[in-house]
Amino acid sequence: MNNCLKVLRAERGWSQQDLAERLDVSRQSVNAIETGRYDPSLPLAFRIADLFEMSIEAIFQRD
Amino acid sequence: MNLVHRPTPIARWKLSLVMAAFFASWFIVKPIWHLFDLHGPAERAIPLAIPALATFVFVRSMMAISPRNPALRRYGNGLLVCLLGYLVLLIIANVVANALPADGAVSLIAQIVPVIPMLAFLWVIARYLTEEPDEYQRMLAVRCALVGSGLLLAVAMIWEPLERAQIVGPAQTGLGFVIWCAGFGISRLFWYYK
Repeated sequence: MNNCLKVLRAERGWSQQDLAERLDVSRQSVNAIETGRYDPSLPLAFRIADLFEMSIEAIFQRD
Repeated sequence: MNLVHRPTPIARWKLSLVMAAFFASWFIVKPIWHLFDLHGPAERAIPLAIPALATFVFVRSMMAISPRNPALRRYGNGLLVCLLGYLVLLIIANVVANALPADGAVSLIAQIVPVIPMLAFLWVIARYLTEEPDEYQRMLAVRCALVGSGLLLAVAMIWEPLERAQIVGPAQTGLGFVIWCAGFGISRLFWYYK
């Protein structure tokens, strides 16, 4: 699954640590999601979508 | 949102150095152990305590990275309690076992009691796996536990036919815990560095 998390984060000038604190996860988790090594669960995907005020499918796309 | 607090990441080389120091301490502590003539159950302390201690140091380092994670804090504290409990009970058991005849019931209990903190150690790990709120970290921990279990099974499966063919001696079952910890710790380091 692809995602534009890195772009969205960069647009807001947030570091991975900033985003991790906002999502209440570890920085390693943010890094794993951004690089596509880990696909988040639906609850975490909703938290990410809520944070960026976007829909899940606008952030995460199929391969 | 409060972003003032920024935990200081532990440098990888520092973490590696700490891990290496703990494993190297085996060579320093064991002669001291023998200097005090501690035999019996106490002999098991070093090979079991060192990987457990290394695991604990690694967890404490992880806690420095995620200081607001209560599950990780409970996990780290639980490991410390189990480790210290094991070492204290082992020393008491050693003294009791040396003072009483080897076939006495008290001596038998003294041999078994030190294992209780190690069983609690498994419970602490199980509790962490169910309580960890960060799903990615939880997945990594499960993966590491599987690597530890896989390594243990692999060693056991290879050892068994070699033992039957009398190529190697009887397996020391106490090392099973060490092998599991080694698999868990090494895979944890691998995923942490990746």
